[in-house]
Amino acid sequence: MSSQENHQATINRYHNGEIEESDFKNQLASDVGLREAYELYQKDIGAIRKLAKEQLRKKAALLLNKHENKQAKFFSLKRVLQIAAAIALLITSIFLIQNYLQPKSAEDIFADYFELAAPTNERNATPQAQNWNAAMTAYVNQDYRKSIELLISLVNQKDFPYPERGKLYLGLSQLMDNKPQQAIDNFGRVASESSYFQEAEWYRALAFLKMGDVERAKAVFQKIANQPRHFKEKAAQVILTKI
Amino acid sequence: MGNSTKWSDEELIKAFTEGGALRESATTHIMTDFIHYVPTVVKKTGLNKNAALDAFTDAIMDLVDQVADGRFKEESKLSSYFYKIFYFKCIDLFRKNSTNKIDYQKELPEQVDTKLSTTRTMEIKEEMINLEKYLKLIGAPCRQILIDWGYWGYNMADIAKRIGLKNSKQAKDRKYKCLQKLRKLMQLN
Repeated sequence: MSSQENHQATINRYHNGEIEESDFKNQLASDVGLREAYELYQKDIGAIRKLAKEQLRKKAALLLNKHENKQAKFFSLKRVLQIAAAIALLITSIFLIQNYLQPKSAEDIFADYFELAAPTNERNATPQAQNWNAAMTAYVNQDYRKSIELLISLVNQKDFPYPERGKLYLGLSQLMDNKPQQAIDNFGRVASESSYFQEAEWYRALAFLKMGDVERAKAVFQKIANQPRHFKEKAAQVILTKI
Repeated sequence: MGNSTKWSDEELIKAFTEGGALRESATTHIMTDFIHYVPTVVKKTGLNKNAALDAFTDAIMDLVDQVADGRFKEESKLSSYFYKIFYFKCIDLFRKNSTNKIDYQKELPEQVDTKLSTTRTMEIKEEMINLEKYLKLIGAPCRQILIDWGYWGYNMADIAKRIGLKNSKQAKDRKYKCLQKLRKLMQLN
């Protein structure tokens, strides 16, 4: 074994703990060759340590990058979840608000606003007057088929003195007898200059509601709502907010 | 010895002391485990990321050295001990780069043994930049042999296996040639 190899072996044994530090220092003090070999060894190790540091530094940079990407993904996922939760909350709120503020059904509005007109009786003793009173009696007694029969007969008479009133109550009887389309037709035949016209217009709108024809009902209610002198102007305005 | 996810402090200490593949594996493990300290300390100290990474690497190397040569007395967890080393290195770096004082006493009342590396590490930073130029010329195979032998403590037989040589004598010869190359490059620097 060369002296160089001997020195290296001594250095290795020292670093492996096989030689005590004090002994090693003594050998360094007395052996110039060993001292020079050890100095060279320390320089080598120093440079190798620098190489190792460069390698570890690169590894650390990669690990940090990986860590940061993982964090970014985590926060990105968190953000996505937050947005999803906000959207879900918004949808739920809209659903609840819509349900809460949902307009009443046409049927409900009809029920809220429909009031059967009171009958009118005649004092005359004419046959037509008597038939009219008979129709009103049937109307009051909810015998709408009878009132319809009698009123159709009267309305079709050329000399019947109250045709517009007749059409109104005929329409009402038909409405009560669950014949809204016939009622609508008759309400629509009441003359616009008649004093019964506004009532007929009102009941016509309600009859459209009963039939479920909301759009046509709206159109009539809108017409009523635009007439400041209409006796149901305000009611029509309120109904329009609900349908 | 340690599962793929977690090493105990005892396992890490044994691995650092033993050297070779175990030391290298344990070092990789703690680097992965502790890397999250970097953004934490960057935030606390205001140090830039690159400087923090330098300090992190130094702290890792210090920790391995101190455990391997018995200076770590196991009075605290390895993670806590490492954090202190790393934090103080960052403080030192920050002080060098700024006039602002950081009151670190409130946070970490104990000093840790960093005498092996603190000053030397800061001073060699500039030297490293120059030396790196030359060390790059050493080539990857020589770099790895030298690091395996001189830093990780692999024996020649293991080095021979790693680089595909027939036996430890061939590895020893190769190591010798790489050392000669390294010494020449250091003389150039």
